[in-house]
Amino acid sequence: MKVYHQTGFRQNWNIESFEQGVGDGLIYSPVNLDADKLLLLDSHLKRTGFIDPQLYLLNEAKGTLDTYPYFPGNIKPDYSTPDLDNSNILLAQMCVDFQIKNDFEYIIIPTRYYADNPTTYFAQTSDYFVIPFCDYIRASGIRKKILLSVIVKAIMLSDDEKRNEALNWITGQNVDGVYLIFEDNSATKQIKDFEFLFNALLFIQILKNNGMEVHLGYNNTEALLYSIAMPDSVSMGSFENLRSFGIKRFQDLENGPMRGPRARLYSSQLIQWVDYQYIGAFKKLITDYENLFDDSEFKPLMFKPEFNWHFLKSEPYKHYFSVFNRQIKSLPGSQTERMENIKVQIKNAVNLFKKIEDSVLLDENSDGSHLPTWFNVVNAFQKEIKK
Amino acid sequence: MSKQFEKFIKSSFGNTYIKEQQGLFGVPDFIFYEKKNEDFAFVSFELKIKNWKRAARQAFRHKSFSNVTYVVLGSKYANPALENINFFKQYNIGLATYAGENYFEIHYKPEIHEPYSDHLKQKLIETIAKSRIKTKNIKPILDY
Repeated sequence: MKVYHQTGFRQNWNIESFEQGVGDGLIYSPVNLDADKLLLLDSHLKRTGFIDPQLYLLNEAKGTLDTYPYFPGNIKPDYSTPDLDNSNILLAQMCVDFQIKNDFEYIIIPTRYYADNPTTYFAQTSDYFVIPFCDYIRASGIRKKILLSVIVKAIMLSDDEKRNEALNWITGQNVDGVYLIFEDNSATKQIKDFEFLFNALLFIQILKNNGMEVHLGYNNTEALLYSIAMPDSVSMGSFENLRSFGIKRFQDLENGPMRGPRARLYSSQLIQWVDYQYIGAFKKLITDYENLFDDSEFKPLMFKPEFNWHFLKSEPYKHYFSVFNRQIKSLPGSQTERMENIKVQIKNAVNLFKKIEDSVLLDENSDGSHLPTWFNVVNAFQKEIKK
Repeated sequence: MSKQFEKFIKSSFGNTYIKEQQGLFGVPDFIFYEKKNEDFAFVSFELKIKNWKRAARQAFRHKSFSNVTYVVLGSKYANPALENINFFKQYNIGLATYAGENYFEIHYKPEIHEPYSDHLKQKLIETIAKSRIKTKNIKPILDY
């Protein structure tokens, strides 16, 4: 299973990390990287990755998106949905040509985002994107694999009819696989919703059973859990908006004063990002507290008293990339063994949290409250696939 | 509850406190400070009408910069917390109730400890130094 860097703001951290052998490739983000700069990047940074075309809001010129030749506003000013009827072929050509020019591993077919998908969503996506993209790719004799972007909304997981409709549509397309993004509306930093996680696993498994490649975007730590459905890749990102999909990232909003998130440190043993402010309490109350956090080249610096923790510091993220990549890569190759392995990892984490919470009282975004649900999800999934 | 409680602490311990200070770890409703031998001691109060567990989690964060932290609950809804007083003892978090006017009762008085974060303690000292509050009617709060 591959691990891709989901890039965005400060993508140089991902690139530096990748160049040190962490991760298998990069997923590029047009809203954060000028098209010309992307073209100039060395080919070794692109040939194992792909671009997320980010036409989610069609003509919203967020960040550097309008530097891309396929950006609809560059085809026609005030481009809107009806224009797709006439220029879908041109848009597909420009988007594919740009991807070919960069020599990415995969060609990605974009998708649009709606707060609530219209009833014609799948038919529209076929007409506007899938058919013109596939026709052009094949007519041009391009042999690269094609991935279809799909945003899976919570209702597409919980509602049988909607789930079947989505799966039938996806598996009916003449593509090699999907770039799958689960839209979770979780209020907490870790997903603690049993139904959501269980149904996400089934969704992946069904796609795999149908011979599709499944590449998961915008993963947080739950990538570890998703791994038991045997996707082809999971992703890891730095900032929270790269570890959980939210459309705000693509909206050109007037930004008011923003409050940055608290800096956190990932622990593979705890399967959690712990608010760094608890480290002071750990230090005073837990013997050998440093052992709770993985070794990496960044750890010695982060544990120095003078380290100035801030969410814009690179070290905690680079530490995460290194540690999480290692954690994913050490998973067993067989599904049966992987499920057992994840259960052991969760159990160990639960036990460690028990010891920690003898003396340190953690909040819901630093504690292990997601883990019992995750354990139950693995058990339920194990049972389901035995059927 | 907050306004009445402020009036109460002001009349009981003086005016050396700051309200809802941002930029620490959590936002305590009040942080009382006491200068002792060139050093500062801090007592934080987290006020909640109910939901003691949430208040306790917040109060624990305040231990990063405080020597003593209290959860102060409205008397009417304090029973669930009082039934779980051992939880407060386990984490060395003070538990008190406030019923308006001068009806303040301490149910568990925690031990004084060093704040977990030197950095946050220093930040708090700098905030106080900048505030230039003229001290009035100060009575020791740590020994209350």
